[in-house]
Amino acid sequence: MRETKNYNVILFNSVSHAMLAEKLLKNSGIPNKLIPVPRHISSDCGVCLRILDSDKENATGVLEGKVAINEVRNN
Amino acid sequence: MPVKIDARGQACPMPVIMAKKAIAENDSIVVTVDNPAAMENVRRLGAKAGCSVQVDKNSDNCFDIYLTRSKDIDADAFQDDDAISCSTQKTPYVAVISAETMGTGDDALGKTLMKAFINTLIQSDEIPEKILFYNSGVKLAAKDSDVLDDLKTLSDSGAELLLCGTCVNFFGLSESIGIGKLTNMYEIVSIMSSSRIIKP
Repeated sequence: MRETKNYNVILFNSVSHAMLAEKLLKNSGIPNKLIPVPRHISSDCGVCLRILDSDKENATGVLEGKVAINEVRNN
Repeated sequence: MPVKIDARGQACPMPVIMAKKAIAENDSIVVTVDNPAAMENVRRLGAKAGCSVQVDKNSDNCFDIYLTRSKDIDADAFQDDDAISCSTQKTPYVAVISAETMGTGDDALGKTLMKAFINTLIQSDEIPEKILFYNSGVKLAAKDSDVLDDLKTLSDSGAELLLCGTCVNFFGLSESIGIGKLTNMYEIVSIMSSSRIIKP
């Protein structure tokens, strides 16, 4: 529908980590969107953060040492 | 050679009725339909009647369904009204957002779940015909809402977004609504009493 941009998703080990990371990225002005973990990645009931490919380094930098990231991968 | 039945452009349950009539009179038929729901329904009729069924998908998104009667065909199947149901055809539905949270228990978690719910509506095979927002649900349609972009996508895709006017007024959001049309209790009751509803 609007998949013209390149996105990455950041996966976490728990929902509360995803919620904390959402807040941290928002405070740092990095556009992000909390979405359900895409079906092809996991069938678990989980949420992850979708970010622009170009923000990958910035986002992981902001989260480093504050929230444990499980994985960052292409959506 | 099988008898050819062209059921393209026919609304459900016509393709099934046409197939049912034809297979009752002929040993072998091929039914052409132009959508997957009709294909499923005709295939189900054939299977139920004990026919051998073969489906070929044409290049132009049509399906040819070959039904061949076995010798001891089940005559009762042609009397069974279930066989002509349209159950695989999707019916429109209305999403009712009665709070800014999904479920009760923890508000922060509930807000997170609601974002995931609305994002998932966009990706579902069929988006809701209408989305009703009332009580704190109307906050989701405010200009500063985190889900405003998703609601815009739903609206652009044809969903009608309706906000409870009383609620918008109560939360002081009259000047800061980003999307949707105000509605009243009459319309809310009328829509809810005549629709298939999903409620997060």
